[in-house]
Amino acid sequence: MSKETERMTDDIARRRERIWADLALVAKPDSRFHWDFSSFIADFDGSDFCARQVRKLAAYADDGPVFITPDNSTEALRAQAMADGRTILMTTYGIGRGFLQLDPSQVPTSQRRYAATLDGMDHYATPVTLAELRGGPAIKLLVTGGSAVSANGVRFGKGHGYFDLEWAILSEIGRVDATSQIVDVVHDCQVVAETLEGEDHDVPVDWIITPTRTVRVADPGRRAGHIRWELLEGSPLEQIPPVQELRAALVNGPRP
Amino acid sequence: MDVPLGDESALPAEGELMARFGVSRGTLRRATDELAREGLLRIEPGRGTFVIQPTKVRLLVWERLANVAKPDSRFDLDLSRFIPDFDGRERCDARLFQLDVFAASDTIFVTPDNSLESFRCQALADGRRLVVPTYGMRRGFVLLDGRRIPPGSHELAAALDGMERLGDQLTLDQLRAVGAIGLVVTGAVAVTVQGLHFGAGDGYFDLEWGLLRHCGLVTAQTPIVVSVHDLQVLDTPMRAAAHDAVVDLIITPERTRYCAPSLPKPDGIFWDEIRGGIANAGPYIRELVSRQQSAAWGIRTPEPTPGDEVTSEQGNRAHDR
Repeated sequence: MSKETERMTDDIARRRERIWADLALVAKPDSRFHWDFSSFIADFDGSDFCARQVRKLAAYADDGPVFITPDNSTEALRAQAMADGRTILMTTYGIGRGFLQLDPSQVPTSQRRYAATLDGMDHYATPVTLAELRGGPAIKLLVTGGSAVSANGVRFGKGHGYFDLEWAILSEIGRVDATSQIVDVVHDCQVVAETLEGEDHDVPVDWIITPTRTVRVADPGRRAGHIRWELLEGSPLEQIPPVQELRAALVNGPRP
Repeated sequence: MDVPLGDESALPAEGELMARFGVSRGTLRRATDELAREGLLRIEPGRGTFVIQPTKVRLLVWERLANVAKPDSRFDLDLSRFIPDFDGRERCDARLFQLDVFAASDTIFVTPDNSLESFRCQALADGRRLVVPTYGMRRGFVLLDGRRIPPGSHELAAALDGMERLGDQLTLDQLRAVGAIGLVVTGAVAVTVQGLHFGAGDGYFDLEWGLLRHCGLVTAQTPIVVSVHDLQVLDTPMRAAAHDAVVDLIITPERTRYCAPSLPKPDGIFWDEIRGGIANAGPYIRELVSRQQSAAWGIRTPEPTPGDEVTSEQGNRAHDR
């Protein structure tokens, strides 16, 4: 690690600590991880309002599936998407068991709130492989939570790069493209006012939605995602099913 | 596992382990020290390093469960972090519902194990009151009242992600006021046919039982039922310690076993057994510890009684004396 990268990493870690201290005042603890913000993206007061703001975006009007990361802060949005009859594509926690697809017609009205939780989604959603996901309609809207996001749309998650990898996987199988919009749902205290320089594998977002504001990021400058094998090497993420599936496709023949 | 479960087994000599894993003595010692700190190994200087019995039991059963355990929403299949739901569990639920003690119990204590999520849901739908600890007791116990939770919300109330939204988080004093608990239901990593129970680690269940006894919600006669897969039941006799909350009844998909009464159940909290992560096990333990310390230091929170009010003048005089 170069001196400069090291300084930047320290800076990000310090910012994250400061934001977590503020977040603790408005956040809700996780059922398992309690207040350990390094292990989950917390729900916060006003996340239901954020969900209603997402509904107003033009990209939400598309009737293809919505991709929503398995954060506690996006739970209200998942319940709303089911009520709106939208198919939800999501990952399991830490992408550990790959992708899930939730068909809202399979969820009774009274069970939407349960199906929107991480505990409930396993009961109602179906695991899907990349082979099954390939060839489906384009995903026009992706919604994620995060630890922090800068004014120019550079986001920080739990620090594992899950969302960057999700974007890369969906790009590799052709389900997202330059017209796909990414929304970061966060509390106001998680928005960093200044412009931050992202690293080249970072996936900047188009919209920042908080309980008080909806901000359109001017020209986030996002590149098409692709798997950075060198970054995965030796990481636990190398073992997750979708990455294994992509690797097998690389080894066994040309990508379909 | 080629050593009888009932015995502790010594690890091979350091030299052999260093060669086998290709690590230095320093690395090896750091690893064994860490495992000893977590209570998985016991180091006896001059004699050797021993894998303690509960560790062997857990490793054995975790391996057995690989094909029947269901992943957790956060911990996936890391069974050291949670008690998994398993194939055939619905037959355990049906057996639990058939028990006379279930029929007779309005208020039931149920651990927050994934293997009991569906039982909690059905018991709530049946109008029972459930006292359920939050995961790791971090935020104390929650009271879920099946009669007050609307139909359609029992599933959410039974899930760890939903129970705090539909139930009331109890302070220690509110917990005391819950009243008699007729039945205690728990999951386990493993249980011996004699009723010795092994949790995921750290002894949370013993502490929960101790707390219920301490608060007067259960008696020595309150039945403890464990619901597990048949693969989690061990025939090997193992000695229970005084702090072990031994179970009375083992329910598996295949059968219901009554355990012969052995040791009396603990009648309170064994403070000496509270160490490691469990020492941070949430508000009750902190409150009890601080009350204990206050008592030890001679500080008592005054409990005013009617007609015995201390006026400031009297108070000053008392102070002067």
